[in-house]
Amino acid sequence: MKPNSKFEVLIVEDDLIVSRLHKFSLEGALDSEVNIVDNGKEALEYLDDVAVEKQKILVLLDLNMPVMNGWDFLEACHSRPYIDRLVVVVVTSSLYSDDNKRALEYPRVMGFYAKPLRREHIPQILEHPEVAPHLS
Amino acid sequence: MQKATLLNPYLKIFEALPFPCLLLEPVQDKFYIVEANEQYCRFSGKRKEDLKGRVYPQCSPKEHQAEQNKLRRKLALQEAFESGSNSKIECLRCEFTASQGENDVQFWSIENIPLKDEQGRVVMILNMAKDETAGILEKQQIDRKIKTVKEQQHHFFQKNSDGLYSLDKKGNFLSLNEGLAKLAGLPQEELINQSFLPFCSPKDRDQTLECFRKAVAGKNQVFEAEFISAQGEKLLLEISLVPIRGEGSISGVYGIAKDRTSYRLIEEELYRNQKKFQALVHEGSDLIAILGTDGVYKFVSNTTENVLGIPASFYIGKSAFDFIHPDDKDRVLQDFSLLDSEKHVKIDAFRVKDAEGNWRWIETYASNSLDDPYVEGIVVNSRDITPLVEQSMQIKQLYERYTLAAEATEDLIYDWNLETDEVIRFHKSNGGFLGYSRREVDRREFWKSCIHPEELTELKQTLKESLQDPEKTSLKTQYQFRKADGTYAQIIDRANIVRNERGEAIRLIGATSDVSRLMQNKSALKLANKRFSYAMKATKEMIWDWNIEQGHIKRSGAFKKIFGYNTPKDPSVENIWFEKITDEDRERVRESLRAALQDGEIKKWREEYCFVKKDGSRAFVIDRGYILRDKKGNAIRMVGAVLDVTESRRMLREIKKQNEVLREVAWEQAHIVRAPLARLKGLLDLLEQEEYGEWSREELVSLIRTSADEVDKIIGNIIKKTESIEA
Repeated sequence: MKPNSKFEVLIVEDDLIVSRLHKFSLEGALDSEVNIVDNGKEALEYLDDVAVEKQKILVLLDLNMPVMNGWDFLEACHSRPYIDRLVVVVVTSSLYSDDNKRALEYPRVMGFYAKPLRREHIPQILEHPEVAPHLS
Repeated sequence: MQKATLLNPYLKIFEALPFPCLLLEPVQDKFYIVEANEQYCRFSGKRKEDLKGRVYPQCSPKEHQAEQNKLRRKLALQEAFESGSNSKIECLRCEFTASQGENDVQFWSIENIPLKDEQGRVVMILNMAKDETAGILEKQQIDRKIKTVKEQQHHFFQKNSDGLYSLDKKGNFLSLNEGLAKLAGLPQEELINQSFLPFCSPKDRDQTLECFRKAVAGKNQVFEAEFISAQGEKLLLEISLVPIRGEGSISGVYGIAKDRTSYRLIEEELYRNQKKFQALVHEGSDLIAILGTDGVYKFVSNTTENVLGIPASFYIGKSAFDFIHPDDKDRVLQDFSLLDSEKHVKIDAFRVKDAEGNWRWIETYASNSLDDPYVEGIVVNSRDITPLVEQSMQIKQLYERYTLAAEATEDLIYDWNLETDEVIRFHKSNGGFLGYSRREVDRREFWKSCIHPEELTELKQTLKESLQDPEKTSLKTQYQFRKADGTYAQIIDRANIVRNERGEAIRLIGATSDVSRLMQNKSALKLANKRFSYAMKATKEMIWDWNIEQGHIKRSGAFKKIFGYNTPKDPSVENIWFEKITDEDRERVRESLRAALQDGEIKKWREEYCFVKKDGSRAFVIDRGYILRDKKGNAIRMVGAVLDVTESRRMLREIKKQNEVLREVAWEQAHIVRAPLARLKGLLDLLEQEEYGEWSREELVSLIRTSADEVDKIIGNIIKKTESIEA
């Protein structure tokens, strides 16, 4: 089967083990490309490069990261031309309800999950109306 | 022979004469009876034979003054004999003793007629006696009558209080009585020949003179005029003048002067009395009427117009009972019927309708004057007592309220009549007062017997002094009173002293309160007050009490303590408070307060603002007030407290700041802790699913161990940090 090149998953996570765990879980569920970056800044740089080529990019965003945290990333990508192509799902170790509420106030944030993503969470994310049509 | 010749032709006449006659023959100085006629025999009761030859005069032994009469008879005979002419005793009074005790009086006229011979010598005397008794008695009676009339006339003339007089044509007094002399103020004799003119009052002189002239001209005159007595006293006299006519001309006038001075005074008094009566009946406030026995009005005073607004004429001919309230009618009729047997009846208040249809209460006194020919009816005197009845009803209501009020209070209310020493007590509890039954409480001397013996003497003295001091109008005493269970209650007795016009105490009306519990609570209250006072000293709250109507405000001592300012003498809201509120808050607070006061619904006001203290520093305060309003909703008073929250606000800010930091720390720590945990959970999921991903099972276990160690290390660090904060 030929990989879907128009859809991509970007994991923005500074914890290497967690990011790998998430990547492993996602790769088992879809045939699209799954990339990992360490923080918000790297994520922006990556997206600035590749987003133009993609129809939709699912971003699994951690909040507490070095260099640029998740909040700053969300603020920064607002002005980006590809903003509408992004589907952001916050995956964080925070259990604070305030963080949950705050995150969902961003227009492109479609979900909020506590780390680590469990097996049953993956279908919920992929079945999101903005994601599902891009999965071959 | 000669004598017989002389008499023969006349003897028959002699015998027939209708009155007693004797023929007497003079012999020497005596006169012998020669013949007596039938009438003489009848009157004397003797026979002729017994009479003949006897010496005249013969007298009856029953005759009084017989000798005197005998002599008069003899002298008369002697006179006739000697003079040869008739002699006569016109009236000889003969009084005889009668068998019934009352003397028999007879009056006789005795005439002696000498009978002469041819030589003219008196040879016989015809003695004729005529009974004049009836004529004499009649004459005496007439004389007496004349005398009486004369005396009466004299009395009438002289003693008449009216002035009787006669004047000549010039107006000089010809005669006058005592009455006129008295009126003129001069003796009778001084007035004779004096003119009446000096006694005329100048104002009536012309009229008087004119009337006198008319009377002299022959016309009777009656007039009233003023005269002045010799003593200068003014007299009003009614004068009647009648001309004295005689021999075809008028010689003067008779006059009668009646003193009308007092009469006029009486007339004036009578007029005044009539006026008074009219005023009383028609202008007074009483309704006066005369009813027939059937209750129909015969007379009604005009006062009905003022009292009931209905003219008196409206009632005439109508039944009084038709105007009485239906509920009162039977009672009034019953009372009215009592007038059959009683002269006066009082009819208790009943209602009659006035012109506006309102019922007025009237009280009536009725008198039966049916026998009085000037009245011939029932006189009723009614008075409008509506205000009195209404007042009475109000008093009744007040009394009921008073009783209810007395029943409602815990106090024992009493009304002590000091004059009769009777006490009326009210207490709501049926069980009486302080455990005593009502009957026990009402017992005389009960009260005195229950007062604590040690306090009784002083209490009596206080009561006595207070009652004796006319300036004292109230009395308050406190004493111990023995309850029914034997314990003592603390009593406070407050009373008003009612005094008469002389200042003497006549009643004592008061309330007795059992304040035992109050007294027990008093010490607790004292303690609580002390605590409150200490608390107020310690608090940072300043209490204020603003009299809005009078525009001044009282502040508690905390004002100086908290804000450093002294309390000014004339503390108003404007000049003390607002000027010390910071510029940025002042208008907001002023407007907020104004709006709260103006809105009649708002009771509470609260504002927070900055206040500049005397030392120039700023105090952040919470100012709260409770607004008291009058019935119209106008704010009249406001009581509140200002709390200096500068310190607490500062602390709050610090706490908030610290909380923020802590929150951040916690957030970070949560993430730090959660990171290895999340990792652990993910790794454990893989291990559980036996899907090891890019790791072997051993690598997974090693990663799990590393993550667990990391968690452990992180927690250890947190504990260390916490311990350092607490220190």
